Amino acid sequence: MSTDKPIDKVEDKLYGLLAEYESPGALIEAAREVRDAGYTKFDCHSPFPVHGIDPAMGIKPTILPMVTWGAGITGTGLAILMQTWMNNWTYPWNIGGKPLFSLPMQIPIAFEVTVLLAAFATFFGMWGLNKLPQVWHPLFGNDNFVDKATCHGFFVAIEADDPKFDQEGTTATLEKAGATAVEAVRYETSKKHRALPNGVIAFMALSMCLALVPFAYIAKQRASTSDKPHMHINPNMDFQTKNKPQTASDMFADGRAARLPVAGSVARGELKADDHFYRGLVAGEWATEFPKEITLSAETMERGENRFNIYCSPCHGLTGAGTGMINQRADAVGATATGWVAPSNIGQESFAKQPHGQLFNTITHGIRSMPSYGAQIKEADRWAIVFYLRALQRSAHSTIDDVPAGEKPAIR
Amino acid sequence: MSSAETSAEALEAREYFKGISDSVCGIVEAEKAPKIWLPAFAAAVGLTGVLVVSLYILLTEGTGIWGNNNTEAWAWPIVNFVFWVGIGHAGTLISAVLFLMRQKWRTSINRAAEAMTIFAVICAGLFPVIHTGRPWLAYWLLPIPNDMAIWPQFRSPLAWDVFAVSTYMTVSILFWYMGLVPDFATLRDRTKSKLKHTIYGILSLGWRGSARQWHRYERAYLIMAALATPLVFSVHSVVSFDFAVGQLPGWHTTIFPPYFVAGAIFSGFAMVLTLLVPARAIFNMKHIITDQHVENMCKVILATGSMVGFAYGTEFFIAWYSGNMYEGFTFLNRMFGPFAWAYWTMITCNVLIPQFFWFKKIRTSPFIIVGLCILVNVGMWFERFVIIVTSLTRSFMPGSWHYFSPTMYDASIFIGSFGLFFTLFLLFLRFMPMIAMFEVKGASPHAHAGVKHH
Amino acid sequence: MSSSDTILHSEEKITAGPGVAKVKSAGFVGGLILLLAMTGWGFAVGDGMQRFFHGYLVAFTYFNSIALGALFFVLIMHLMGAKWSVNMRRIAEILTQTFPLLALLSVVIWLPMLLGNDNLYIWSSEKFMSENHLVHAKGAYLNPVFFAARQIIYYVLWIGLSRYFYRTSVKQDEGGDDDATRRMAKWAAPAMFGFAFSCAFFAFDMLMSIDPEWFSTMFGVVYFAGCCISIFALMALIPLALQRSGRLVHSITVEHYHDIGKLLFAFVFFWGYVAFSQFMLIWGANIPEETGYFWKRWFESEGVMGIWGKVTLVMLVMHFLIPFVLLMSRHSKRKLQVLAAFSIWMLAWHYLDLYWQVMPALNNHHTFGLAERSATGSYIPMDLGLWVGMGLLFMGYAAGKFRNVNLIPIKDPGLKQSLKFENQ
Repeated sequence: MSTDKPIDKVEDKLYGLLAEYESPGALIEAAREVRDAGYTKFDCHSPFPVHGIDPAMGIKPTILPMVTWGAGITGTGLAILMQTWMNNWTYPWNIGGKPLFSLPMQIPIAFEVTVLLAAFATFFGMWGLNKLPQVWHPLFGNDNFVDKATCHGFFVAIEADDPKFDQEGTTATLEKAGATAVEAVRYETSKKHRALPNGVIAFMALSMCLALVPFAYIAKQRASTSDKPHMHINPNMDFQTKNKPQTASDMFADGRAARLPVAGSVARGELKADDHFYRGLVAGEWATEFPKEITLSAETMERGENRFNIYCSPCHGLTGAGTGMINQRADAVGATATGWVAPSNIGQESFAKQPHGQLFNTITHGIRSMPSYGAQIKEADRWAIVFYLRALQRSAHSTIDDVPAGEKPAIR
Repeated sequence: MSSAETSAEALEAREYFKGISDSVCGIVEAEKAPKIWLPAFAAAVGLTGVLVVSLYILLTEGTGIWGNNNTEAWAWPIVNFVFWVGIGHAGTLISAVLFLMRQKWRTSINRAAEAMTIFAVICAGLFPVIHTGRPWLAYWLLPIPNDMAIWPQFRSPLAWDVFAVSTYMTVSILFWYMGLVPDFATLRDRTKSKLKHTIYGILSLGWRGSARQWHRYERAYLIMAALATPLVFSVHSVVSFDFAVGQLPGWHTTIFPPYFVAGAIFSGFAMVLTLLVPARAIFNMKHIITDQHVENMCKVILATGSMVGFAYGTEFFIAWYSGNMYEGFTFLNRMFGPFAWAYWTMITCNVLIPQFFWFKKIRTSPFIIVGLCILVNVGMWFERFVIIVTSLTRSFMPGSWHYFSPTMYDASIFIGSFGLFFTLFLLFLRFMPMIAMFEVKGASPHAHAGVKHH
Repeated sequence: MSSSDTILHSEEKITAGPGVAKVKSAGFVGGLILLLAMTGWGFAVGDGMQRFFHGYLVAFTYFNSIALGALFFVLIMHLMGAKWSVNMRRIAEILTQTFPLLALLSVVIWLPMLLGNDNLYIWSSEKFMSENHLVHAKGAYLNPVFFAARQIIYYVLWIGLSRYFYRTSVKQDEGGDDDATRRMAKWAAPAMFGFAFSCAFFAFDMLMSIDPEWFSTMFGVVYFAGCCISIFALMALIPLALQRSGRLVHSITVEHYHDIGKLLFAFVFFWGYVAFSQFMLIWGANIPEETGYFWKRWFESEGVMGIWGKVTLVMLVMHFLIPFVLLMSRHSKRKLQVLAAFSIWMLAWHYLDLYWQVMPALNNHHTFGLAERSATGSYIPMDLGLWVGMGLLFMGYAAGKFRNVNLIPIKDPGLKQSLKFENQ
């Protein structure tokens, strides 16, 4: 050969010996003999799991069940934690009066997640322990093996790495065990042909890129501004053929789409028939008693104080003496001269004599320059304020004798 | 036994194994599909087209195109969902439960049944998603962190459904694929085409049938079966919770979970038979899917049909026994109300029709079997219809009573879902090993050829 | 041995020895003495036998669940054409022969009711039925006469079914008639129908109606799960006991026990599944006439968990979680001591399950002021005494049935496969 180029020399190496057996039974016998002969790096190959081969080869039970167990328990715990965290802590939400932590209703998801994680662990754990996927294996270079191993052949392969391996002796062992054929399997040491074909790699890369497109689109839409809706998948939901408030309609004589309720309609809960509670009247006179809905308790008093301090004190002051912040400011800027009506001193005699109902009415509708508070303060709260006013009026006329004996020194 | 006899036995076994590979792989490797495949596939694709068009109209017009309204907020879409999930159950039952019970006859049908499960669950999943009205927001059902800091409501059985059905789908696919790997390896080793070799090579993950791998594989298969068994029970139980956790008369009854599971198995087996009885004739698989297997499935239908009948009876009795007038009314309304025709269709198809399977003659006549099985599935569809629609049309407030009429789109989406199902199933029959070769080989008596007893 | 059969091991002893006669007489004597003593104590309590009847009901439904479970075992194995269990089927068949005793014991439940004692089922009291509007509609079903009639129907059915399958099978021992197996398989299917309805309605009548306002369609299934747990526990224990006395030593192997263990495990899981579903659906819907049942079995007063709540939790852990987790392993099913321990364990907690269903109802009577309340812990020995007493009687009666019959269906065509059976 007269050429300058170096010869393409294929370096190859012995993988081991491959022996074929005629039946599953023969395979079991052979496996037993190979193991008894002291080989450790060997394997049997069959188109289906041959029963009885595990003890013959001395295969130890796999740890896979433990993996499944661990994943399953993790799943249970995670699912319970997730549900508790989401529905109990970060987003507590009352549903049908169920407790936030409803264990019975967490069981189904806990079960599903347990199974899901256990199945994942089993599936991927099994392939992992089996060292699969595997792109290349020396045995795939043997035609007889490829023809039969996944169809109808039964093989024993002993690796050359096995400490007991020597080609002649091992061949003899395999033949003695009933092999119908024994051949040496060699493989190329170059790693080039062990990789995935370029086409496959390109395909995988391309599909991964394509899979990112929707996410990229969403990201772009989220990061940019526009005066139109970004994504309009279902226009029907946005442009519905219906009348909206404040639009015109040919349907009615007055040309308006929005309709008034029928005269005399009363909305639910808006009847307010109880004169005493809602208007402070009993038989047409100002009520002198608190309505039965109001309990005269320390709680109501506190509520009244709280509402008074929010709504009333800016003008009337915290003691009700009419010296609130606004009045002080009015005085300071000289507004009194230009018609500022100073807020009343709630403690004065004339107010103390007014019946409860009249005070309530004043809060509801206002008086002179005091505006109406009926819209802001609910009825029960207005009554609570009246209740608190009575306390303020009492305190306006209090003396040192009203202070409990124990507290007196603190005041002096 | 003399060595000659052993060899003869071994030879026979090897030929049997090779025969299995040849006949199963032959379908996939054949240049041309059987004559009937192409028209069937064309019809299925056509129906899928109907589905696609209907879905397009649904998405652009909104759910108003359905017959659903305030009284019957859950109508056909949910009926179809429960129907398809139920169909799916038989696959898992055959592959997992019968595996645990060591029913060897399952090996001939489990692969196709598992495929059926997956395709049925795909069809099932479609319906609740489109029923949300805005399917592009369906991911809101999942616990995904979001800037509104809101989370799914886990005290609702609808949220359980999301987990149950998606877990079921995932585990079914894993289980199915795991079973396919050794068979893909067989296809890989047989093919002469470079492209097919690459595709099957990737799908088979480099499987080479080593005993050390088989050991873990079998263990994993057993574990997966053990996981899938309670899973399949849980899925339809959770579906039943969708109804039973509520307070609507006719929905709130405690026997729903096992009753739904029995119904699911019932309808699923009917579907398996509907598909496989013709398939085994077309693909010449009668030596693998034998008459005995078909008979066994008929018996399962008879048994589960009777369980469903038992649940109907118990429900009916307790409705009276409860003394709850709404409960009692619902059941009388089912029997004699405006939807009485649906109720009696259900009773006829689900309780009476399966009783024909008492007769061996019927269990062995393919045409009658397929006919009866289709009727069973009609009955099971009507069962869900009766539970959902009849109960809703006349609930507590007579003021909101209503008669439900479906629209064209209700029907076209449902029929279209059959198109999707059959398209996928026909593709599976043509391009994947429809029978679990390694399992059939392992379960045959030949698997013990030459085994000596110590 | 009447026939020289080659399938069985040549030295196999397949008949119960003379020992069973001793068990029989000891069981009868001990059981009757204990039951009579408890009856005396029941009278002495002075609550119109109320506590006695409740304790009796728990014990009675307990042993009835064993016999029903045995009937189910026989039927399902015929129906499925199961081969692995053929060697154990005779034991179940013998256990089904206890129905006549149970029929007799059931008289104690309904006869006093017919005679006007309304201290067990509150619905048997006219005062209750006229004052409680929720149950008016049920009067047609819940009345002593119809109740007694239904009991008689159930027992006629069960005795009939169990006799047919037992006798056909025993007859096969002599003639070796293969057709008998086919016939039994055929009749098992309709028999299963009868079994399903009668078992569910027995549970409705005996146990569910103890709280007459309450109802649950699942209830029959929960009782059925209990039946299965008790029979699979016993199907591990009885063969083990027989093997210890030298019987069937070659015919029942660890493989069979493994399968029994699997079924025990499966039904522990099934029980958990149905019991949980029943509870969760009622808890979730929160309808007062349904939740009352669980309320009584959890709270002592508004918001305060009582003793029954603790019992519920104990049941959750002992009846479900512990056996579920530990029986999952292959080893615990194949290690016979462990399997036996779990069988005894399940039999004990199955008693608590029924106890939990019946006893909280004692307070129903109190609420309606019908009888003295005897719901105190000081009568627990009476409940247990009734359980043990009835257990001895049941054992004695069953032991009598073990005499003069092969412990294994020697001529069953499936026996050969059964003996060779191996788990993969």
